[in-house]
Amino acid sequence: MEVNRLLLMDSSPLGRDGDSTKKIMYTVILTLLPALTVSVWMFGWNAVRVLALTSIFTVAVEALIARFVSYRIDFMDGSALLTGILLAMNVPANAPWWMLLVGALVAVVIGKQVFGGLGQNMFNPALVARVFLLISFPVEMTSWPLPGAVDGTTGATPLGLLKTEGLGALAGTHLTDLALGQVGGSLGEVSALALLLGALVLFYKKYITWEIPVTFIGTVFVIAAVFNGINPQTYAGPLFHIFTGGVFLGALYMATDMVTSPLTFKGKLLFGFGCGFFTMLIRLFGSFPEGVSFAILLMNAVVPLLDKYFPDKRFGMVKNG
Amino acid sequence: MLQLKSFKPGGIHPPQQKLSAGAAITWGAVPKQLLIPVQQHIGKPCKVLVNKGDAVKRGDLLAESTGFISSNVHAPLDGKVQKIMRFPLLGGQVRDVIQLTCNDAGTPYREIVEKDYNDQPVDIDALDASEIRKKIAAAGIVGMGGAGFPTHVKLTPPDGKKIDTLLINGAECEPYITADHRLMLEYSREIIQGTRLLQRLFDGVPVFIGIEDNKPDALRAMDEAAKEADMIDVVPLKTQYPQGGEKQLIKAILGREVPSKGLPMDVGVVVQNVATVLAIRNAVYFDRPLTERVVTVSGNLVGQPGNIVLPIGTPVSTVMEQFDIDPARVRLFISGGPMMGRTSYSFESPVSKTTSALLFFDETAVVKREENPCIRCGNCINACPMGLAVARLTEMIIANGIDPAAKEAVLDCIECGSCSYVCPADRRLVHWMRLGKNIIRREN
Repeated sequence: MEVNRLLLMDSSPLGRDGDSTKKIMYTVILTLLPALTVSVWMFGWNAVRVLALTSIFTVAVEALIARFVSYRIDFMDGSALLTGILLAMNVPANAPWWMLLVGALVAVVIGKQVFGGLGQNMFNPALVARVFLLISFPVEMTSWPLPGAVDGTTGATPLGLLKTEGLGALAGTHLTDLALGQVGGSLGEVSALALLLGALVLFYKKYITWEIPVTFIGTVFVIAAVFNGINPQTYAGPLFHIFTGGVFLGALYMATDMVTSPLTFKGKLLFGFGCGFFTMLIRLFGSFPEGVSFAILLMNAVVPLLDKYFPDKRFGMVKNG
Repeated sequence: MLQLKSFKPGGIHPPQQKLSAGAAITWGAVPKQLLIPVQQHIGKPCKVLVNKGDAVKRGDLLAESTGFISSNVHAPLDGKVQKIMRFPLLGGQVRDVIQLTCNDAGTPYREIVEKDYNDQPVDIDALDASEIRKKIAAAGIVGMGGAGFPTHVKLTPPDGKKIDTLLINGAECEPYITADHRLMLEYSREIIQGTRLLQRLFDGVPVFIGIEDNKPDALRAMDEAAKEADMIDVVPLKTQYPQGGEKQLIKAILGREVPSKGLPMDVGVVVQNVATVLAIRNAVYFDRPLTERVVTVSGNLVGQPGNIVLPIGTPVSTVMEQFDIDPARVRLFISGGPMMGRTSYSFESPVSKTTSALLFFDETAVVKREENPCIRCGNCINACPMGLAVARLTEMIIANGIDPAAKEAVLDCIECGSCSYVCPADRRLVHWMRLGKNIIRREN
């Protein structure tokens, strides 16, 4: 009996549809281009600087780690780069380089690799880094350059103003400014519509589904509407709340992160609701003006429970006969 | 626009590659030797009845079933038993085969087979149901769609299980395979005859013949052939993999869901594949045992992909000669379709009752795949026709910690391959699910 040693032996199926982790990661990165373009348009070269630095830092840190661990890390698979870009979108355009390096280290090392690398991390790495920076360097992380301000003028975000000065301070802020990005904020907070534009591609490619973004934004809207309805003098309106801060970035790009969000339908609905709920809890009653990052990280922690206790209905879960 | 029937949930759309759809069924020459596997079914092994040196005639019983869930094996051709030996089959497992040298090597196979058939009308109504079942059991018929479950067992539901609908499976959802497609085109009348026999077994229950809409000619031919028959309807189905899965077919056509761990009969249904139905017809009409089948020969190394009738036991190398396939160029050899078929390492392995296709590819089809970490994208879950949380289940299996609630889910896997097909991390999900099943079964 002759054995052809060159024959491929493999278990079925023998074909694949050609999608890959790399393709997904780089597609997500490409869909961020509209939002990044708006950031650069708003904040100029400073935004480019932040983006370039975080991207280089995260990929470099991951490449460095790859040399020392026993498991295989493909640092060019796009996941580190995506973390870098998302990190950039979570910091002010005037962030100093050393802060970005700390952020990259925290994101890649503590946010991702200590858990075992790609796919194993419980928390969104970029958000871990953002929260770390926010707590460690509160001054740098809350003096936001105002869009188009060539002289380096900084100011608070609309949410910051709301927290410290009350609703009256926001009298001059138009809703269209919020939606289009004419306000102070981090790179990724400044244009809800550009983020939505990119996310449409992700919906089309089925890389993200509607459950988390819709329940997240919907919950923020409803809670804001209720409080605004009860006391319009103290509480800002629902549109203000969904278009300011990180709600769109969070709902479309951070909460939908495949690795750190639930797999099941009900799990996703609850996850999105939780994100919206904690965001508003912090915004309305917490000491921080913005709660998106904390809310998503909190919900990240319960993902395994959501997956376990809210499974999808299997085929054949019917009464026998 | 008519909404075509299909199953839910899951499903995928791999390229169909039905290269041999237009190639009429051919018959080769009688091979020099046959290697007839002693066991070609799921169930108890057979007892070999012949010895080295015995002369056997076409149709003689070679190995006898040893219980109810077992199936006879017959000689496809006249010849002499050379020896009985262990030999690798197409799935890679090494089993007993009966080596038979054929007396009529080189003569056209069709001439030999056609002697067994005539056009004399058979009065189906005169046949008694138990007689039909007996003939089917005697003929050694097993599910020819791939599973190889003894057909007479499927046709004998235990007391208390009322069958109210019969489904004939002509979906043929696997890429490349066209054997059933050609059968439905060229033997539609005979398949309907077989269908009526089955209908008789279950007191004239309604019958639905499910065919994917990528075979419009087969749909027409079967529709035409079924016109005269009572309560036999042809149902066009959406072309979607795995439409031909038994549970999926029932869901698509009847909207019924076979319960987890259950069988089609639990929802009052029996499903038979078209090739099996044809074998049943031949067995009942002419007392012909199942000794040949149509096999699709395709793949990018096959100049003229086709469908050929092969006696059971034909070594693959004989088929490769007939289709002018250079063994030295083959890098990927699959028996069955690319989704559920198996790679094989020996071109001397024989065709069995369940071999639907032989696919030959060169190095362009060989993709070295490394498993990457799961990124929890959920593609596998969305593709799974059984609604399984494949990503979670495989994680547990790999960690060797399948929680009790998940065990039932793992056992429900039909191994269709949809999950692995869509996995961006190239994870061998079906492989892990199979491993999980084995672990669980060993525990029980």
